[in-house]
Amino acid sequence: MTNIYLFSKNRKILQAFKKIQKSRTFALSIYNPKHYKHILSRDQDLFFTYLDLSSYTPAEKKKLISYVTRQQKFDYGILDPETWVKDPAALFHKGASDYIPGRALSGELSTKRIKSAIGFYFMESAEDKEEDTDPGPVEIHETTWETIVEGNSYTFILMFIEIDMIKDWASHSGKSHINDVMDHFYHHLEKVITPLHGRIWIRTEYGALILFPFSGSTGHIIIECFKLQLNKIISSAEEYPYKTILSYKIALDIGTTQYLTRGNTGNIISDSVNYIFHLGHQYTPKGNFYLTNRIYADIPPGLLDYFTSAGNFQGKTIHRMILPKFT
Amino acid sequence: METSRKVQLLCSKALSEAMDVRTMCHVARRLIPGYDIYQETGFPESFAIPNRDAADTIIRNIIQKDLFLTFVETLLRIEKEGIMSRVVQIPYLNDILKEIYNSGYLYDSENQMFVENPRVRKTRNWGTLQDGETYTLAFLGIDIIDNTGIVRKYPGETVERTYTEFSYIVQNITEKRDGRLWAWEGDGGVIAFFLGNKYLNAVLSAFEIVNQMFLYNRTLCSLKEHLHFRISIHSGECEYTANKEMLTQSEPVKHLMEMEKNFSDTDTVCISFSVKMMLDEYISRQFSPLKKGGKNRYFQYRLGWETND
Repeated sequence: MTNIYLFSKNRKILQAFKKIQKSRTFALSIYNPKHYKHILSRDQDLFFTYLDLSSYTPAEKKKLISYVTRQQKFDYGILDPETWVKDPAALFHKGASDYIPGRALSGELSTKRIKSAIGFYFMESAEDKEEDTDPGPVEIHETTWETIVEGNSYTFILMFIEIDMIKDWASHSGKSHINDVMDHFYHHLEKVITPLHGRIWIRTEYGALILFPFSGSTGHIIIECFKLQLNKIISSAEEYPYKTILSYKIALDIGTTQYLTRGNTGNIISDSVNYIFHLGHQYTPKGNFYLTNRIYADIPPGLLDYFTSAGNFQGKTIHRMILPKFT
Repeated sequence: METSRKVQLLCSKALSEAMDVRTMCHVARRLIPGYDIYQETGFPESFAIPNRDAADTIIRNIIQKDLFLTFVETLLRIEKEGIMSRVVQIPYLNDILKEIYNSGYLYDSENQMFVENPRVRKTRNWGTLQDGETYTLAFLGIDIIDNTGIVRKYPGETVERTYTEFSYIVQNITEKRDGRLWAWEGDGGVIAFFLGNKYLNAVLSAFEIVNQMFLYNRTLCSLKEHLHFRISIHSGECEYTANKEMLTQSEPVKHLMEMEKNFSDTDTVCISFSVKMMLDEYISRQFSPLKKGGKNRYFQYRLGWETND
């Protein structure tokens, strides 16, 4: 699999890379354009990068081009939706492997195009050649609860959420108090997820795995998770009687799993379900909102500045929300 | 409020079964000073008026004087606190409350009064504030910053759409916490809070507006820039009047305008000391004191973010 880094927060560009994102030939990581220097100089793995000029001011564009043309560490392509570059051929003289102007970005980019760009200077590796028959994008089924049949597999947005149990409560409170907290928490969750057609599927000690049938985008669920973090004080005051700020850890991904009704989920074997549990339990710190690279492109462009790279977990690039600060 | 025959009968039975005529008259005098049961019933003073006759007459008189809801509020208070040092159990209270609910009113236990059910209707006085009476209210003032600049810079249609979206955000957020729009002038207005914990409702509304505007500016706003605003919250005593113009001339609203003009900052919430002291500690500590403000003390909240990646 070839790693491709995309630096953009332009919705049109993110849309154009949808097919690449779902492809099994490439592992696409989307990054905040602001952090390009830091990420490109940090990563030692082999990667190809696309940089979107429309995500920068004119001065930044000049600096960016000067930076990528001077380095020899990675190959790169330039995305220019506003056709800002006057002489694209000059870019190739300076080492660019690809240049994609605005009119070529109106649809989705093909995997063939990206392969040509990557192979512009280097021959593809034998491993890549074996994968030459591109399996195409991962199949995404659009589903609603009405069409879901128990026992069949579907694509879901998977949301892991746990309330950050206050230390004293966890160690000194009786079971009835913890149950009371959890009752309030589940009630609060239901209020949030029901209008978005979400359902609590599996309950954990302090939280739940929630399923949302996938219908083309995860953007609205990302915004809702963002709001859960943003509205902590409001929900603490209105949904709970404890007169203290309560917080949650949230992990979000998309994946396919067999659907069984709540309570009958014990024997489910699903990589996606395993992964979201591991991501939530093992990797997401208390109070945080983490999401995988598979859904990063659905973050509204205006909110991209509020997400930052959070490394890699079990082969997937992870991003975390920059949190609001409360005293 | 219109009272059905059924609820009148229930009240009459409740009164006659819960207390004697002397106590009934005592209750009636709380609402109608100098109330004389003999004069109202026509019974000579030497007669012992039957309980049910006295109760029927009192209920009829109370309804005639448009004091029915106040009367039921009094019964609820008597049930809780007793009367003339005696504990009184009032029967049929739940049935009476159910009938009142069906007529579109809810009991607000914080203020111990009936108010209109917002699902049925929403009026400026919550269906309960009386002309000429003084009440303590919390007021939230909000306005768009650089209104003139925006109007000059953008086509009318864009401005209209943006301001309508802004007013929807403010209205939805405040109305779900029982706030009532007392004034709105396109680029901002004043919202009054009276029911429940009015201070908390005003402050949580302000927090939610700040959060919602943060998202709106980054996802939906049609302007090429963010729509900036400022919020002020103050509380105080205000004489209610049905005259909308006079309402906004009241002392706390004038004070709110002063706060807005002199102390409120861009995209922040500014509250007065009288509001801050009524908040729970974990909410109150989100506000930091403002240095300016003279002898008055004001406090500010601004949405902040983690600083390093």
